[in-house]
Amino acid sequence: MSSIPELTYQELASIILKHVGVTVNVHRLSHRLTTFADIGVDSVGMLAVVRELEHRRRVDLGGTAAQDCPTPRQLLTRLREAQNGAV
Amino acid sequence: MTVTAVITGVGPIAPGGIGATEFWQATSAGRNLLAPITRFDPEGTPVTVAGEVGFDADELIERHYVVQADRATQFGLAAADLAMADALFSPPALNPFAAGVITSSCVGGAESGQRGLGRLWRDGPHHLSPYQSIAPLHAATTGQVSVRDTMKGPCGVIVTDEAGGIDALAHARRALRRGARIMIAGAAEAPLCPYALAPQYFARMLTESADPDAAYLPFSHGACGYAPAEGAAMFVVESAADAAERGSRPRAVIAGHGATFSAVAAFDPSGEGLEMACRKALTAARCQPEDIDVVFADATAIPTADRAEATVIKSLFGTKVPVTAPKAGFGRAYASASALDVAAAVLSLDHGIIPPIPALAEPIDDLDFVVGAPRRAELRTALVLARGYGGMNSALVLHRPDH
Repeated sequence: MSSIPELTYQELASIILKHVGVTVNVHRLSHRLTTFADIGVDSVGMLAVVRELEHRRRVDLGGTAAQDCPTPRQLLTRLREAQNGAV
Repeated sequence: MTVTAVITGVGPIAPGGIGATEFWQATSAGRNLLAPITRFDPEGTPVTVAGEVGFDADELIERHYVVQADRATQFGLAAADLAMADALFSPPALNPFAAGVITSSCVGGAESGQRGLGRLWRDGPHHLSPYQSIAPLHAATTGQVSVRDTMKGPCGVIVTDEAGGIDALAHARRALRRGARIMIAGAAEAPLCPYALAPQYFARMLTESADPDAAYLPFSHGACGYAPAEGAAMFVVESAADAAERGSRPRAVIAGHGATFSAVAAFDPSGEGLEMACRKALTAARCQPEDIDVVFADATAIPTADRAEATVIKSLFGTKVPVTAPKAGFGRAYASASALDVAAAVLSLDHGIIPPIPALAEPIDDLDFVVGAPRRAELRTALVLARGYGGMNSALVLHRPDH
């Protein structure tokens, strides 16, 4: 399985900026220990991010994606699985 | 012994300016800041003149609130910051459970509601932000301020139209008497959008004059309703003892509050409820009518309501007490109108200057209206009056701290 390209973190950063209003550095966003809470994305913000990812990629991340994926890395893994038909 | 509640921080955001210094400069000069509406295109609507705030959100609040919160809440967050800075208080409080927030709003986050409904019908439910579940609520300002500043004590929201800006301070004082140590209280409103204004057109209370100099003329024979305005005023309220311990200078003492409900449409034309609210406030403050040095009037510029208010003032205080209504210069900002009046009254007591009604050519009564220019006066006690659509009446007595 290929690793997640950095472009996706770039896109995630722009989604977070537009839909949550939080500016985040791509390197920080892609660090495996960074959580959404660390960068100021609260529970409602998580719903906004998940909704936008689902809308852009035309996938269903599942009803609990916002709770299940506390880190950007986990969320992008979930997205990749959904795109591969695993969710 | 009951707690003496004092205001130690004043944070106004008004068409005249951001913060106490700018607000006081504009208000005390009696400038007319009303102008044609630019927040939306009012072409084809009856109300075209209002008081708008020049608000640079990027300068005053964290960027994520621009995405997440209504303009009213953005005002509230910035006003709370200004008030806390004025009070030399940096949150969080030592005990977050002893710090609370009480705000008032009449319109709530109407502009966010309007945008959300637009997107829902135009683009479908998938285009709504989850923040739509928060931003339009009346409770959003209290919620966002309390979360941002870690205030986990008594929090609440009051919806009593203009009376709410005064009622919030009374609730803050009550919270202190029940054990809270520091309260953020006030009001925030951003009603300059069609969704907020359109339901009011039919009541014919808003001015339909397109001339900013003639649009809002309370207590005048030319009165034709009020110009709506946006803005906020937040205050830091704490006990006199805590203020002294923190080294924060009390700006005013919240001496007495009275509130009544007349249960009528519009504004009680009899004035009975307003008079009762005044008497309750005076009694609570252990004041006689002659102790009142200045009255900040509700001043709706609706002829029957102006007449009722003038009659109440005259019957209680005679014609010697100075009466002013600085909001005539920047509009009536619903719950924030009375909160801004409290800000003006506090600053008035502080400076010994009464800010004027900008213009009043033909007064309906022989009350001592302060018109056109600020008036220097020995001020120890101020009375602020407010009424809400539907019959809410509130009065607040403020003392200069050394009184």
